[in-house]
Amino acid sequence: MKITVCIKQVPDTNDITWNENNTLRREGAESIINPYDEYALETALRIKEQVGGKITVVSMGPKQAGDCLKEALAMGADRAFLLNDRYFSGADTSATSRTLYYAITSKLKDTELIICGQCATDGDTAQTGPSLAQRLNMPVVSFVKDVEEINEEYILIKKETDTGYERVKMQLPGVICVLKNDFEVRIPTISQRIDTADKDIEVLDAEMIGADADKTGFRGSPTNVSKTFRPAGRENSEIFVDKNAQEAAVILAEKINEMRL
Amino acid sequence: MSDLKILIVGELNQNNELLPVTLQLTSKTAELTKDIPNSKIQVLIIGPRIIYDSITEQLSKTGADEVIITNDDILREYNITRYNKVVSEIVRKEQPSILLFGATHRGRELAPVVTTTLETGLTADCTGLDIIENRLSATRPTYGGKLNAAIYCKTFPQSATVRPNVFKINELPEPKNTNVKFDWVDTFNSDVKTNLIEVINETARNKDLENAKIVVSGGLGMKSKEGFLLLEELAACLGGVVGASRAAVDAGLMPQSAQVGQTGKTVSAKLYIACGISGAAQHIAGINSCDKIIAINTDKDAPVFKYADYGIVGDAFEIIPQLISELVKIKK
Repeated sequence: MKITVCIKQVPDTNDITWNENNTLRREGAESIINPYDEYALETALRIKEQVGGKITVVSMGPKQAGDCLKEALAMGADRAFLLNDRYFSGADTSATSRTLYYAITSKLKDTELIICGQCATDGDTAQTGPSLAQRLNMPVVSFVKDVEEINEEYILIKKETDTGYERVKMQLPGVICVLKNDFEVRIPTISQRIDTADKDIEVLDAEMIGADADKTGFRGSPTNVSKTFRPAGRENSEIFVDKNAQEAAVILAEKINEMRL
Repeated sequence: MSDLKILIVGELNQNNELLPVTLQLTSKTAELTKDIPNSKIQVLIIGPRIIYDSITEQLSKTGADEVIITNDDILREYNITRYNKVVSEIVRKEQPSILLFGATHRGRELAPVVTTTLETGLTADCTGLDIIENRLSATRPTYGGKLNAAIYCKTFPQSATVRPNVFKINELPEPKNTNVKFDWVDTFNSDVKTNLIEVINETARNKDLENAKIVVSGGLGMKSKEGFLLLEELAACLGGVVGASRAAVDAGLMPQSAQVGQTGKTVSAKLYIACGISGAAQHIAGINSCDKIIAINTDKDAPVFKYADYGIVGDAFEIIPQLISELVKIKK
């Protein structure tokens, strides 16, 4: 089974801080593999253990994103591509999926299964995977909770819905977008890290994947952020700082009573 | 001719009833366009060949100008290839300038496939919509709710998926004289590559929490499972439901299904009581559309107070029992 796993490097959401103008303060923010993508890779590794195959990880991003790909190689991926070009920056989900499409159609034509994380913890759009599938004219199943069966022809999936689950059979080649699963994601051992330390990350620019640079990155993105702002607080908040429990209870009971619920 | 045409892709449940998010979107867009001359709100219904009169009536009351029904028994089950074909063809025919989906599981899978087919942009999981000079401005939280971004889409239709329960359903004083139009898209020969094998319903997926009028929620400040029993008592007294912050769920104090926030449930209660919750942005993102918020926390600098209508700096373990007896007194 030839599997491609799409990986995004994201800032660790827990230690994000902001500059005055609401831009992300990058200094000091640790970058990690998007947690959903770790499950995507773990899913791929489990499929490989079961039916054999080869796993290629692909990431679009700055040179530093190579660190995440190194980690993916240590976890057990066979090959890693970093899509890196100044034209690629500022991409929305549409331009990102198009760039991945160029990479897959030029370098990974024989891919049978593409696995993406359901969403990234920074943008949380959940759009790149389904959009990529449509560009490749492949079927897609998202919100995948579990892979129950896989062979050369199809994959049997348990997916989450608003009201429970569905079991869906998808013909391959195809794309799945995975949620976090109940299983643990493996952590590479020191010897695995040493063994893969010298492995090359193959860096690809727009020309090498046959991309029309104007259709990638900021210029190829149909959506733009027009402004950013902190979520607004409530007006006329009444905060009581020095009431004892009895006084506080009386105040709250009155306020709740006034709401006529 | 209308200058501003909005197409909302409706979603039906297994019993072919309209999901609330479709009505919420109809209601919100009706409010946004009420002073825009020549605006038109269309709602697309995709489903089997049955009668859709009651759905049409609901949509008239919330402000739809036209309901487009594509009914075909082959569309009884959701299939992404067929549904994509229906939506894309209808959009090509109707040429709306704005295209909206509910950010349900289905909507979030279907919308990016549709907009990629149509080569247009899409904004995900929005919590705010505005129309400025006949153009859509869609607001969404990013970075775990720490920042809101207003997104502009420069291609048409300008598209977005919108999170359920962020908008209210307001019935118009007079229902609109809604036009009903039947259309049909041939999906019989679509190259379908996914097949539904089985549907497993899980009724207890905390629908309660999302629809509750009153929610009493706890964070790490409630310390233990026993702390949450106190919240159960308060909730029972008020006729409400208990929720929890992500930190409390991660600590194992409450099940995942009770989690409120950006990665959990979005609640739109009339009253939300946050006990021992510091108010991380990702939690606030799930409660901001509640009518009234009460916060109880020992830390006077806790961010939650900025988002509360009423705040008490104090110990929830001391205040809640007293509050319960005060509420019982008032009831009598």
